[in-house]
Amino acid sequence: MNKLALASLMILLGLAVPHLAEAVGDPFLTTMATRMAIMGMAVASLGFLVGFAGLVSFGHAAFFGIGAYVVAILFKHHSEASPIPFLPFAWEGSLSGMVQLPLAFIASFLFALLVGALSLRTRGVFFIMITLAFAQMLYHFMISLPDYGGEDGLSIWERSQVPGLDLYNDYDFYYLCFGLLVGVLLLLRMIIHSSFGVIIRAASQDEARLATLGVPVFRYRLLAFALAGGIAGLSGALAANLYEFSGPGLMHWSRSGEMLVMLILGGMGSLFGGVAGAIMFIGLEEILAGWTEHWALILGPILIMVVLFAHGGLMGFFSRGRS
Amino acid sequence: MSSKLLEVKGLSKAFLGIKANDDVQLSIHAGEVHGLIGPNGAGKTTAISLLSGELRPDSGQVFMDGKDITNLSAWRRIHMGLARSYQISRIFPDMTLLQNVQVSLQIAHGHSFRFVAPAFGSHGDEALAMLAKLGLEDRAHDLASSLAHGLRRELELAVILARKPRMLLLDEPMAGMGKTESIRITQLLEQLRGQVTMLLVEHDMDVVFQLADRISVLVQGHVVATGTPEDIAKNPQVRAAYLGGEDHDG
Repeated sequence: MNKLALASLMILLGLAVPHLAEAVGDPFLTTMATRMAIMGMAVASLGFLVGFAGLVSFGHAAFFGIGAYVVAILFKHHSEASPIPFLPFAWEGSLSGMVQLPLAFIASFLFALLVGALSLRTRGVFFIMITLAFAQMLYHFMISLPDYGGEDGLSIWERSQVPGLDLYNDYDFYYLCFGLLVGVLLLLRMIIHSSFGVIIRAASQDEARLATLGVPVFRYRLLAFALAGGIAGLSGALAANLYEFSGPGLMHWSRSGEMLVMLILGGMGSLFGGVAGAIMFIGLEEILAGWTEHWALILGPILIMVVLFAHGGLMGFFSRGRS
Repeated sequence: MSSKLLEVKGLSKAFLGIKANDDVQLSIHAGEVHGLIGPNGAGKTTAISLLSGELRPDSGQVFMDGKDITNLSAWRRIHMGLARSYQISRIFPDMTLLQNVQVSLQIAHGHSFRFVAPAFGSHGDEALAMLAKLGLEDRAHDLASSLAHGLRRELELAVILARKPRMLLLDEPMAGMGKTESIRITQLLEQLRGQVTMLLVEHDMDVVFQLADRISVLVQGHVVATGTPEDIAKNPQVRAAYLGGEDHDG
Protein backbone atom coordinates (compact mmCIF):
# COMPACT_ATOMS: atom_id res chain seq x y z
CA MET A 1 0.00 0.00 0.00
CA ASN A 2 2.82 2.31 0.94
CA LYS A 3 4.48 1.50 -2.36
CA LEU A 4 1.26 2.18 -4.23
CA ALA A 5 0.94 5.58 -2.56
CA LEU A 6 4.54 6.40 -3.43
CA ALA A 7 4.06 5.35 -7.05
CA SER A 8 0.88 7.44 -7.35
CA LEU A 9 2.71 10.42 -5.90
CA MET A 10 5.55 10.00 -8.41
CA ILE A 11 3.10 9.80 -11.30
CA LEU A 12 1.26 12.92 -10.14
CA LEU A 13 4.57 14.71 -9.76
CA GLY A 14 5.59 13.56 -13.22
CA LEU A 15 2.35 14.84 -14.71
CA ALA A 16 2.81 18.19 -12.99
CA VAL A 17 6.38 18.80 -14.22
CA PRO A 18 5.58 21.12 -17.18
CA HIS A 19 3.22 23.17 -15.02
CA LEU A 20 5.77 23.44 -12.22
CA ALA A 21 8.39 24.47 -14.76
CA GLU A 22 6.07 27.19 -15.97
CA ALA A 23 5.27 28.27 -12.44
CA VAL A 24 8.94 28.83 -11.62
CA GLY A 25 9.40 30.50 -15.00
CA ASP A 26 11.99 28.06 -16.33
CA PRO A 27 10.54 26.10 -19.29
CA PHE A 28 13.93 24.48 -19.83
CA LEU A 29 13.13 22.27 -16.84
CA THR A 30 10.56 20.46 -19.00
CA THR A 31 13.25 19.56 -21.52
CA MET A 32 15.49 18.38 -18.71
CA ALA A 33 12.65 16.23 -17.36
CA THR A 34 12.21 14.82 -20.88
CA ARG A 35 15.87 13.79 -20.87
CA MET A 36 15.39 12.24 -17.45
CA ALA A 37 12.37 10.24 -18.63
CA ILE A 38 14.23 9.01 -21.73
CA MET A 39 17.36 7.96 -19.85
CA GLY A 40 15.21 6.61 -17.01
CA MET A 41 13.60 4.22 -19.48
CA ALA A 42 16.96 2.95 -20.77
CA VAL A 43 18.43 2.61 -17.29
CA ALA A 44 15.29 0.86 -15.99
CA SER A 45 15.70 -1.74 -18.74
CA LEU A 46 19.35 -2.14 -17.72
CA GLY A 47 18.22 -2.46 -14.11
CA PHE A 48 15.88 -5.25 -15.14
CA LEU A 49 18.92 -7.10 -16.51
CA VAL A 50 21.40 -6.31 -13.74
CA GLY A 51 19.17 -6.24 -10.68
CA PHE A 52 16.69 -8.98 -11.50
CA ALA A 53 18.30 -11.25 -14.08
CA GLY A 54 21.79 -10.83 -12.59
CA LEU A 55 23.28 -10.01 -16.00
CA VAL A 56 25.71 -7.10 -15.90
CA SER A 57 25.69 -5.81 -19.46
CA PHE A 58 28.35 -3.28 -20.35
CA GLY A 59 27.03 -2.71 -23.84
CA HIS A 60 23.58 -1.34 -23.29
CA ALA A 61 24.33 1.91 -25.15
CA ALA A 62 24.58 -0.13 -28.38
CA PHE A 63 20.85 -0.90 -28.25
CA PHE A 64 20.08 2.69 -27.32
CA GLY A 65 22.13 3.81 -30.33
CA ILE A 66 20.40 1.41 -32.71
CA GLY A 67 17.06 2.92 -31.73
CA ALA A 68 18.41 6.39 -32.43
CA TYR A 69 19.83 5.33 -35.80
CA VAL A 70 16.53 3.74 -36.83
CA VAL A 71 14.83 7.12 -36.47
CA ALA A 72 17.68 8.94 -38.22
CA ILE A 73 17.93 6.49 -41.13
CA LEU A 74 14.17 6.35 -41.71
CA PHE A 75 14.12 10.16 -41.68
CA LYS A 76 17.09 10.45 -44.06
CA HIS A 77 15.64 8.14 -46.70
CA HIS A 78 12.25 9.70 -46.36
CA SER A 79 13.58 13.21 -46.87
CA GLU A 80 15.77 12.13 -49.83
CA ALA A 81 13.03 9.87 -51.22
CA SER A 82 15.74 7.22 -51.64
CA PRO A 83 15.19 3.53 -50.95
CA ILE A 84 16.93 2.02 -47.93
CA PRO A 85 19.79 0.08 -49.56
CA PHE A 86 20.17 -2.80 -47.10
CA LEU A 87 16.51 -3.86 -47.20
CA PRO A 88 15.41 -6.65 -49.57
CA PHE A 89 12.44 -4.55 -50.67
CA ALA A 90 12.13 -0.95 -51.83
CA TRP A 91 11.13 1.37 -49.00
CA GLU A 92 11.85 5.04 -48.61
CA GLY A 93 11.61 5.27 -44.86
CA SER A 94 8.98 7.05 -42.83
CA LEU A 95 8.42 9.99 -40.55
CA SER A 96 5.58 8.38 -38.65
CA GLY A 97 6.31 7.72 -35.00
CA MET A 98 3.93 4.78 -35.22
CA VAL A 99 6.45 3.21 -37.61
CA GLN A 100 9.71 4.61 -36.26
CA LEU A 101 9.24 3.81 -32.58
CA PRO A 102 8.09 0.18 -32.98
CA LEU A 103 10.84 -0.41 -35.54
CA ALA A 104 13.43 1.02 -33.14
CA PHE A 105 12.23 -1.47 -30.53
CA ILE A 106 12.25 -4.38 -32.99
CA ALA A 107 15.68 -3.59 -34.46
CA SER A 108 17.29 -3.33 -31.02
CA PHE A 109 15.43 -6.42 -29.83
CA LEU A 110 16.78 -8.44 -32.77
CA PHE A 111 20.33 -7.17 -32.36
CA ALA A 112 20.15 -7.95 -28.63
CA LEU A 113 18.95 -11.44 -29.55
CA LEU A 114 22.10 -11.89 -31.62
CA VAL A 115 24.46 -10.42 -29.01
CA GLY A 116 22.73 -12.39 -26.26
CA ALA A 117 22.91 -15.67 -28.17
CA LEU A 118 26.69 -15.39 -28.15
CA SER A 119 27.43 -13.55 -24.90
CA LEU A 120 25.00 -15.43 -22.62
CA ARG A 121 27.13 -18.52 -22.95
CA THR A 122 29.64 -16.78 -20.69
CA ARG A 123 29.38 -15.60 -17.09
CA GLY A 124 30.60 -12.83 -14.85
CA VAL A 125 33.51 -10.76 -16.08
CA PHE A 126 33.54 -12.53 -19.44
CA PHE A 127 29.94 -11.55 -20.01
CA ILE A 128 30.73 -7.92 -19.14
CA MET A 129 33.67 -7.94 -21.56
CA ILE A 130 31.80 -9.59 -24.43
CA THR A 131 28.84 -7.23 -24.25
CA LEU A 132 31.33 -4.34 -24.15
CA ALA A 133 33.13 -5.76 -27.19
CA PHE A 134 29.91 -6.09 -29.21
CA ALA A 135 28.92 -2.52 -28.41
CA GLN A 136 32.34 -1.22 -29.46
CA MET A 137 32.16 -3.25 -32.67
CA LEU A 138 28.88 -1.60 -33.53
CA TYR A 139 30.32 1.80 -32.61
CA HIS A 140 33.19 1.34 -35.05
CA PHE A 141 30.88 -0.12 -37.66
CA MET A 142 28.70 3.01 -37.62
CA ILE A 143 31.81 5.21 -37.87
CA SER A 144 32.79 3.30 -41.00
CA LEU A 145 29.48 4.06 -42.77
CA PRO A 146 29.91 7.37 -44.61
CA ASP A 147 26.39 7.13 -46.06
CA TYR A 148 25.03 7.42 -42.54
CA GLY A 149 27.27 10.24 -41.43
CA GLY A 150 30.27 8.19 -40.31
CA GLU A 151 31.92 9.82 -37.36
CA ASP A 152 29.71 12.92 -37.62
CA GLY A 153 26.42 11.07 -37.33
CA LEU A 154 23.12 12.06 -38.88
CA SER A 155 21.07 15.13 -38.21
CA ILE A 156 17.30 14.84 -38.11
CA TRP A 157 15.39 17.82 -39.51
CA GLU A 158 11.96 16.53 -38.66
CA ARG A 159 10.88 14.87 -35.45
CA SER A 160 8.61 11.81 -35.53
CA GLN A 161 4.99 12.44 -36.35
CA VAL A 162 2.77 11.02 -33.65
CA PRO A 163 -1.00 11.32 -34.10
CA GLY A 164 -2.51 13.83 -31.70
CA LEU A 165 0.87 15.11 -30.54
CA ASP A 166 3.30 17.71 -31.83
CA LEU A 167 6.82 16.70 -30.82
CA TYR A 168 8.03 20.25 -31.43
CA ASN A 169 5.85 21.24 -28.52
CA ASP A 170 7.92 20.64 -25.37
CA TYR A 171 4.86 19.64 -23.35
CA ASP A 172 3.65 17.12 -25.91
CA PHE A 173 7.10 15.63 -26.25
CA TYR A 174 7.51 15.39 -22.49
CA TYR A 175 4.14 13.71 -22.02
CA LEU A 176 4.94 11.18 -24.74
CA CYS A 177 8.22 10.24 -23.04
CA PHE A 178 6.67 10.25 -19.59
CA GLY A 179 3.73 8.12 -20.73
CA LEU A 180 6.02 5.59 -22.41
CA LEU A 181 8.24 5.49 -19.31
CA VAL A 182 5.26 4.72 -17.06
CA GLY A 183 4.10 2.08 -19.56
CA VAL A 184 7.54 0.45 -19.67
CA LEU A 185 7.80 0.41 -15.87
CA LEU A 186 4.36 -1.18 -15.53
CA LEU A 187 5.25 -3.75 -18.18
CA LEU A 188 8.56 -4.64 -16.51
CA ARG A 189 6.85 -4.83 -13.13
CA MET A 190 4.27 -7.25 -14.51
CA ILE A 191 6.99 -9.37 -16.11
CA ILE A 192 9.11 -9.50 -12.95
CA HIS A 193 6.19 -10.97 -11.01
CA SER A 194 5.09 -13.35 -13.78
CA SER A 195 6.18 -16.97 -14.18
CA PHE A 196 8.83 -15.79 -16.62
CA GLY A 197 10.12 -13.21 -14.14
CA VAL A 198 10.33 -15.76 -11.36
CA ILE A 199 12.49 -17.99 -13.55
CA ILE A 200 14.74 -15.04 -14.44
CA ARG A 201 15.17 -14.14 -10.77
CA ALA A 202 15.73 -17.74 -9.71
CA ALA A 203 18.42 -18.06 -12.39
CA SER A 204 20.33 -15.17 -10.85
CA GLN A 205 20.16 -16.82 -7.41
CA ASP A 206 21.21 -20.34 -8.36
CA GLU A 207 21.55 -21.23 -11.99
CA ALA A 208 22.65 -24.85 -11.45
CA ARG A 209 19.69 -25.57 -9.20
CA LEU A 210 17.28 -24.12 -11.74
CA ALA A 211 18.79 -26.22 -14.52
CA THR A 212 18.58 -29.45 -12.53
CA LEU A 213 14.97 -28.60 -11.75
CA GLY A 214 14.31 -28.72 -15.47
CA VAL A 215 14.70 -25.20 -16.87
CA PRO A 216 16.64 -24.37 -20.06
CA VAL A 217 18.02 -21.23 -18.41
CA PHE A 218 19.67 -19.86 -21.56
CA ARG A 219 16.39 -19.39 -23.43
CA TYR A 220 14.83 -17.40 -20.61
CA ARG A 221 17.89 -15.21 -20.21
CA LEU A 222 18.05 -14.61 -23.94
CA LEU A 223 14.50 -13.33 -24.06
CA ALA A 224 15.09 -11.09 -21.03
CA PHE A 225 18.24 -9.72 -22.64
CA ALA A 226 16.47 -9.02 -25.94
CA LEU A 227 13.53 -7.37 -24.18
CA ALA A 228 15.86 -5.03 -22.27
CA GLY A 229 17.65 -4.27 -25.54
CA GLY A 230 14.37 -3.46 -27.26
CA ILE A 231 13.35 -1.04 -24.50
CA ALA A 232 16.74 0.68 -24.69
CA GLY A 233 16.12 1.01 -28.44
CA LEU A 234 12.78 2.68 -27.86
CA SER A 235 14.47 5.06 -25.46
CA GLY A 236 17.17 5.77 -28.06
CA ALA A 237 14.50 6.58 -30.65
CA LEU A 238 13.07 9.20 -28.29
CA ALA A 239 16.55 10.58 -27.61
CA ALA A 240 17.17 10.96 -31.35
CA ASN A 241 14.02 13.05 -31.52
CA LEU A 242 15.08 15.16 -28.57
CA TYR A 243 18.61 15.83 -29.86
CA GLU A 244 17.45 15.80 -33.51
CA PHE A 245 20.57 13.79 -34.10
CA SER A 246 22.01 10.30 -34.04
CA GLY A 247 25.70 9.48 -34.04
CA PRO A 248 28.17 6.77 -33.11
CA GLY A 249 28.94 8.60 -29.87
CA LEU A 250 25.59 7.40 -28.50
CA MET A 251 26.98 3.84 -28.62
CA HIS A 252 30.39 4.58 -27.16
CA TRP A 253 31.37 2.41 -24.19
CA SER A 254 31.44 5.45 -21.95
CA ARG A 255 27.69 5.82 -22.55
CA SER A 256 27.16 2.23 -21.43
CA GLY A 257 29.26 3.02 -18.37
CA GLU A 258 27.19 6.12 -17.71
CA MET A 259 24.03 4.00 -17.68
CA LEU A 260 25.61 1.66 -15.13
CA VAL A 261 26.62 4.67 -13.03
CA MET A 262 23.02 5.91 -13.10
CA LEU A 263 21.82 2.47 -12.07
CA ILE A 264 24.26 2.28 -9.16
CA LEU A 265 23.27 5.79 -8.06
CA GLY A 266 19.58 4.90 -8.10
CA GLY A 267 19.87 1.38 -6.77
CA MET A 268 19.63 -1.99 -8.48
CA GLY A 269 17.18 -3.66 -6.15
CA SER A 270 14.07 -1.97 -7.52
CA LEU A 271 12.71 -1.13 -10.95
CA PHE A 272 12.36 2.54 -10.10
CA GLY A 273 16.02 2.66 -9.06
CA GLY A 274 17.09 3.15 -12.68
CA VAL A 275 14.72 6.08 -13.09
CA ALA A 276 15.81 7.60 -9.77
CA GLY A 277 19.43 7.25 -10.87
CA ALA A 278 18.78 8.95 -14.20
CA ILE A 279 16.98 11.82 -12.47
CA MET A 280 19.78 12.22 -9.96
CA PHE A 281 22.59 11.95 -12.53
CA ILE A 282 21.07 14.38 -15.02
CA GLY A 283 20.01 16.73 -12.23
CA LEU A 284 23.49 16.76 -10.69
CA GLU A 285 25.11 17.17 -14.08
CA GLU A 286 22.86 20.14 -14.78
CA ILE A 287 23.51 21.81 -11.42
CA LEU A 288 27.23 21.06 -11.24
CA ALA A 289 27.86 22.05 -14.85
CA GLY A 290 26.45 25.44 -13.92
CA TRP A 291 29.25 25.87 -11.39
CA THR A 292 32.20 24.34 -13.12
CA GLU A 293 33.08 22.60 -16.33
CA HIS A 294 34.89 19.97 -14.24
CA TRP A 295 31.58 18.72 -12.87
CA ALA A 296 32.62 15.09 -13.27
CA LEU A 297 35.25 15.74 -10.60
CA ILE A 298 32.45 16.31 -8.09
CA LEU A 299 30.15 13.60 -9.44
CA GLY A 300 32.89 10.98 -9.01
CA PRO A 301 33.21 11.32 -5.22
CA ILE A 302 29.41 11.45 -4.90
CA LEU A 303 29.22 8.12 -6.71
CA ILE A 304 31.84 6.64 -4.40
CA MET A 305 29.93 7.91 -1.36
CA VAL A 306 26.72 6.31 -2.64
CA VAL A 307 28.47 2.98 -3.17
CA LEU A 308 30.11 3.11 0.25
CA PHE A 309 27.35 4.52 2.43
CA ALA A 310 24.01 4.14 0.67
CA HIS A 311 24.27 0.51 -0.31
CA GLY A 312 21.38 -0.13 -2.66
CA GLY A 313 21.58 3.39 -4.09
CA LEU A 314 19.04 6.12 -3.65
CA MET A 315 16.13 3.66 -3.50
CA GLY A 316 17.91 1.47 -0.97
CA PHE A 317 18.60 4.53 1.14
CA PHE A 318 14.93 5.50 1.18
CA SER A 319 13.55 2.02 1.79
CA ARG A 320 15.85 1.63 4.79
CA GLY A 321 14.76 5.01 6.08
CA ARG A 322 11.15 3.88 6.05
CA SER A 323 11.59 0.58 7.80
CA MET B 1 15.65 -58.23 -8.08
CA SER B 2 13.78 -56.02 -10.52
CA SER B 3 14.32 -54.05 -13.72
CA LYS B 4 17.20 -51.64 -14.19
CA LEU B 5 16.13 -48.00 -13.90
CA LEU B 6 19.55 -46.50 -14.45
CA GLU B 7 22.50 -48.16 -16.12
CA VAL B 8 25.99 -46.82 -16.52
CA LYS B 9 28.42 -48.39 -18.97
CA GLY B 10 32.12 -47.59 -19.07
CA LEU B 11 31.76 -43.99 -17.94
CA SER B 12 35.04 -42.04 -17.92
CA LYS B 13 35.84 -38.42 -17.20
CA ALA B 14 39.22 -36.79 -16.83
CA PHE B 15 40.08 -33.31 -15.58
CA LEU B 16 43.42 -31.99 -16.87
CA GLY B 17 44.51 -35.55 -17.51
CA ILE B 18 43.54 -36.82 -14.07
CA LYS B 19 40.95 -39.56 -14.33
CA ALA B 20 38.11 -38.72 -11.95
CA ASN B 21 35.94 -41.52 -13.29
CA ASP B 22 37.54 -44.43 -15.06
CA ASP B 23 35.33 -46.97 -16.78
CA VAL B 24 32.56 -46.79 -14.17
CA GLN B 25 29.95 -49.56 -14.35
CA LEU B 26 26.76 -49.25 -12.31
CA SER B 27 23.27 -50.58 -12.57
CA ILE B 28 20.56 -49.32 -10.33
CA HIS B 29 17.39 -51.33 -9.93
CA ALA B 30 13.99 -49.66 -9.83
CA GLY B 31 12.94 -49.13 -6.22
CA GLU B 32 16.26 -49.79 -4.54
CA VAL B 33 18.44 -47.58 -2.39
CA HIS B 34 21.89 -47.89 -3.88
CA GLY B 35 24.80 -46.68 -1.77
CA LEU B 36 27.92 -45.27 -3.45
CA ILE B 37 30.89 -45.10 -1.13
CA GLY B 38 34.61 -44.56 -1.49
CA PRO B 39 37.50 -42.63 -0.02
CA ASN B 40 37.84 -38.87 -0.53
CA GLY B 41 38.65 -38.00 -4.12
CA ALA B 42 37.35 -41.31 -5.45
CA GLY B 43 35.12 -39.48 -7.96
CA LYS B 44 31.72 -39.83 -6.31
CA THR B 45 30.55 -36.27 -6.98
CA THR B 46 31.87 -36.47 -10.54
CA ALA B 47 29.81 -39.62 -11.02
CA ILE B 48 26.68 -37.83 -9.74
CA SER B 49 27.27 -34.87 -12.06
CA LEU B 50 27.76 -37.21 -15.01
CA LEU B 51 24.47 -38.89 -14.19
CA SER B 52 22.60 -35.59 -13.70
CA GLY B 53 23.89 -34.31 -17.03
CA GLU B 54 25.83 -31.36 -15.63
CA LEU B 55 29.06 -32.94 -16.84
CA ARG B 56 29.57 -34.76 -20.11
CA PRO B 57 31.61 -37.96 -20.04
CA ASP B 58 34.73 -38.38 -22.19
CA SER B 59 33.45 -41.85 -23.00
CA GLY B 60 30.81 -44.30 -21.87
CA GLN B 61 27.03 -44.24 -21.78
CA VAL B 62 24.18 -43.61 -19.39
CA PHE B 63 20.85 -45.36 -19.87
CA MET B 64 17.56 -44.59 -18.16
CA ASP B 65 14.63 -46.97 -18.74
CA GLY B 66 16.87 -48.55 -21.36
CA LYS B 67 17.11 -45.28 -23.29
CA ASP B 68 20.50 -43.71 -23.99
CA ILE B 69 20.52 -40.35 -22.19
CA THR B 70 24.26 -39.72 -22.43
CA ASN B 71 23.81 -36.62 -24.57
CA LEU B 72 20.69 -35.29 -22.87
CA SER B 73 21.21 -31.96 -21.09
CA ALA B 74 20.59 -31.66 -17.35
CA TRP B 75 17.32 -29.76 -17.66
CA ARG B 76 15.89 -32.49 -19.91
CA ARG B 77 16.91 -35.36 -17.63
CA ILE B 78 14.71 -34.20 -14.78
CA HIS B 79 11.75 -34.30 -17.15
CA MET B 80 12.45 -38.04 -17.30
CA GLY B 81 12.35 -38.13 -13.50
CA LEU B 82 16.03 -37.86 -12.63
CA ALA B 83 16.70 -35.35 -9.82
CA ARG B 84 19.75 -34.51 -7.74
CA SER B 85 20.71 -32.87 -4.47
CA TYR B 86 24.04 -31.15 -3.85
CA GLN B 87 26.71 -31.58 -1.23
CA ILE B 88 26.19 -27.91 -0.37
CA SER B 89 22.43 -27.49 -0.63
CA ARG B 90 21.32 -25.42 -3.58
CA ILE B 91 18.19 -23.38 -3.07
CA PHE B 92 17.00 -19.90 -4.06
CA PRO B 93 18.25 -17.85 -1.10
CA ASP B 94 16.33 -14.62 -1.79
CA MET B 95 12.97 -16.36 -1.98
CA THR B 96 10.86 -17.62 0.89
CA LEU B 97 10.65 -21.35 1.60
CA LEU B 98 7.17 -21.40 0.10
CA GLN B 99 8.32 -19.60 -3.04
CA ASN B 100 11.21 -22.05 -3.42
CA VAL B 101 8.74 -24.93 -3.61
CA GLN B 102 6.34 -22.89 -5.77
CA VAL B 103 9.08 -22.35 -8.37
CA SER B 104 9.66 -26.07 -8.47
CA LEU B 105 5.94 -26.76 -8.92
CA GLN B 106 5.73 -24.07 -11.60
CA ILE B 107 8.49 -25.82 -13.54
CA ALA B 108 6.72 -29.15 -13.08
CA HIS B 109 3.62 -27.69 -14.73
CA GLY B 110 5.29 -26.90 -18.04
CA HIS B 111 7.24 -24.02 -19.57
CA SER B 112 7.34 -20.61 -17.92
CA PHE B 113 7.06 -18.36 -20.98
CA ARG B 114 4.07 -16.70 -19.36
CA PHE B 115 4.30 -13.00 -18.74
CA VAL B 116 1.08 -11.68 -17.26
CA ALA B 117 -0.30 -13.53 -14.24
CA PRO B 118 1.65 -13.18 -10.97
CA ALA B 119 3.54 -16.45 -10.48
CA PHE B 120 3.34 -16.78 -6.72
CA GLY B 121 -0.44 -16.67 -6.86
CA SER B 122 -0.55 -20.32 -7.84
CA HIS B 123 0.53 -23.67 -6.34
CA GLY B 124 0.51 -22.14 -2.84
CA ASP B 125 -1.49 -24.90 -1.13
CA GLU B 126 0.42 -27.67 -2.83
CA ALA B 127 3.72 -26.05 -1.86
CA LEU B 128 2.62 -25.64 1.75
CA ALA B 129 1.62 -29.32 1.89
CA MET B 130 5.09 -30.28 0.62
CA LEU B 131 6.75 -28.11 3.27
CA ALA B 132 4.50 -29.69 5.93
CA LYS B 133 5.73 -33.13 4.87
CA LEU B 134 9.22 -32.06 5.91
CA GLY B 135 8.06 -30.18 8.99
CA LEU B 136 8.99 -26.80 7.52
CA GLU B 137 5.52 -25.25 7.31
CA ASP B 138 6.10 -22.94 10.30
CA ARG B 139 8.86 -21.19 8.39
CA ALA B 140 7.07 -21.09 5.05
CA HIS B 141 7.28 -17.31 4.81
CA ASP B 142 10.87 -16.88 5.97
CA LEU B 143 13.61 -16.23 3.46
CA ALA B 144 15.47 -19.38 2.52
CA SER B 145 18.76 -17.62 3.29
CA SER B 146 17.72 -17.44 6.96
CA LEU B 147 17.75 -21.23 7.32
CA ALA B 148 20.48 -23.07 9.18
CA HIS B 149 22.50 -25.67 7.32
CA GLY B 150 20.38 -28.67 8.28
CA LEU B 151 17.08 -27.05 7.37
CA ARG B 152 18.48 -25.93 4.03
CA ARG B 153 19.04 -29.56 3.17
CA GLU B 154 15.42 -30.32 4.08
CA LEU B 155 14.19 -27.41 1.97
CA GLU B 156 16.29 -28.64 -0.93
CA LEU B 157 14.64 -32.04 -0.58
CA ALA B 158 11.20 -30.41 -0.49
CA VAL B 159 12.04 -28.49 -3.69
CA ILE B 160 13.26 -31.64 -5.43
CA LEU B 161 10.42 -33.85 -4.24
CA ALA B 162 7.92 -31.30 -5.57
CA ARG B 163 9.16 -32.36 -9.02
CA LYS B 164 8.01 -35.93 -8.18
CA PRO B 165 11.23 -37.63 -9.30
CA ARG B 166 11.48 -41.36 -9.90
CA MET B 167 15.20 -41.38 -9.27
CA LEU B 168 17.12 -39.31 -6.73
CA LEU B 169 20.84 -38.68 -6.86
CA LEU B 170 21.81 -37.70 -3.31
CA ASP B 171 25.28 -36.20 -2.91
CA GLU B 172 26.22 -36.59 0.76
CA PRO B 173 22.90 -35.57 2.27
CA MET B 174 24.29 -35.97 5.80
CA ALA B 175 27.38 -33.83 5.23
CA GLY B 176 27.73 -31.26 8.00
CA MET B 177 24.54 -32.38 9.74
CA GLY B 178 24.12 -32.79 13.47
CA LYS B 179 23.08 -36.12 14.97
CA THR B 180 19.36 -35.29 15.28
CA GLU B 181 19.19 -33.73 11.81
CA SER B 182 20.96 -36.74 10.39
CA ILE B 183 18.41 -39.05 12.00
CA ARG B 184 15.53 -36.97 10.64
CA ILE B 185 16.88 -37.10 7.07
CA THR B 186 17.49 -40.83 7.41
CA GLN B 187 13.87 -41.31 8.47
CA LEU B 188 12.69 -39.24 5.55
CA LEU B 189 14.71 -41.28 3.07
CA GLU B 190 13.38 -44.42 4.73
CA GLN B 191 9.83 -43.15 4.09
CA LEU B 192 10.67 -42.58 0.43
CA ARG B 193 11.98 -46.11 -0.01
CA GLY B 194 10.04 -47.95 -2.67
CA GLN B 195 8.44 -44.79 -4.07
CA VAL B 196 11.68 -43.28 -5.30
CA THR B 197 14.83 -45.03 -6.42
CA MET B 198 17.92 -43.55 -4.79
CA LEU B 199 21.62 -43.36 -5.44
CA LEU B 200 23.09 -42.36 -2.10
CA VAL B 201 26.61 -40.98 -1.92
CA GLU B 202 27.49 -40.74 1.75
CA HIS B 203 30.48 -40.68 4.08
CA ASP B 204 28.52 -41.72 7.16
CA MET B 205 28.90 -45.48 6.97
CA ASP B 206 26.24 -46.14 9.59
CA VAL B 207 23.68 -44.37 7.42
CA VAL B 208 24.75 -46.12 4.22
CA PHE B 209 24.73 -49.57 5.76
CA GLN B 210 21.36 -48.86 7.37
CA LEU B 211 19.63 -47.51 4.26
CA ALA B 212 21.20 -49.19 1.27
CA ASP B 213 19.87 -52.34 -0.34
CA ARG B 214 23.06 -52.61 -2.33
CA ILE B 215 26.36 -50.76 -2.21
CA SER B 216 28.97 -49.94 -4.85
CA VAL B 217 32.49 -48.96 -3.88
CA LEU B 218 34.36 -46.38 -5.93
CA VAL B 219 38.14 -46.25 -5.60
CA GLN B 220 40.24 -43.92 -7.75
CA GLY B 221 37.42 -43.47 -10.22
CA HIS B 222 36.76 -47.17 -10.59
CA VAL B 223 33.98 -49.35 -9.18
CA VAL B 224 35.82 -52.11 -7.33
CA ALA B 225 32.82 -53.90 -5.86
CA THR B 226 29.02 -53.98 -5.86
CA GLY B 227 26.92 -56.04 -3.51
CA THR B 228 24.71 -56.21 -0.44
CA PRO B 229 25.94 -54.40 2.67
CA GLU B 230 27.01 -57.76 4.12
CA ASP B 231 29.07 -58.64 1.05
CA ILE B 232 30.70 -55.24 0.99
CA ALA B 233 31.60 -55.35 4.68
CA LYS B 234 33.41 -58.65 4.11
CA ASN B 235 35.06 -57.71 0.79
CA PRO B 236 38.87 -57.73 1.16
CA GLN B 237 39.37 -55.25 -1.75
CA VAL B 238 37.12 -52.73 -0.07
CA ARG B 239 38.89 -53.15 3.24
CA ALA B 240 42.21 -52.57 1.51
CA ALA B 241 40.93 -49.43 -0.17
CA TYR B 242 39.63 -47.98 3.08
CA LEU B 243 42.43 -49.06 5.36
CA GLY B 244 45.43 -48.93 3.04
CA GLY B 245 44.52 -46.52 0.28
CA GLU B 246 43.42 -43.45 2.14
CA ASP B 247 46.72 -41.99 3.24
CA HIS B 248 47.33 -40.12 -0.02
CA ASP B 249 44.27 -37.89 0.01
CA GLY B 250 44.85 -36.12 3.30
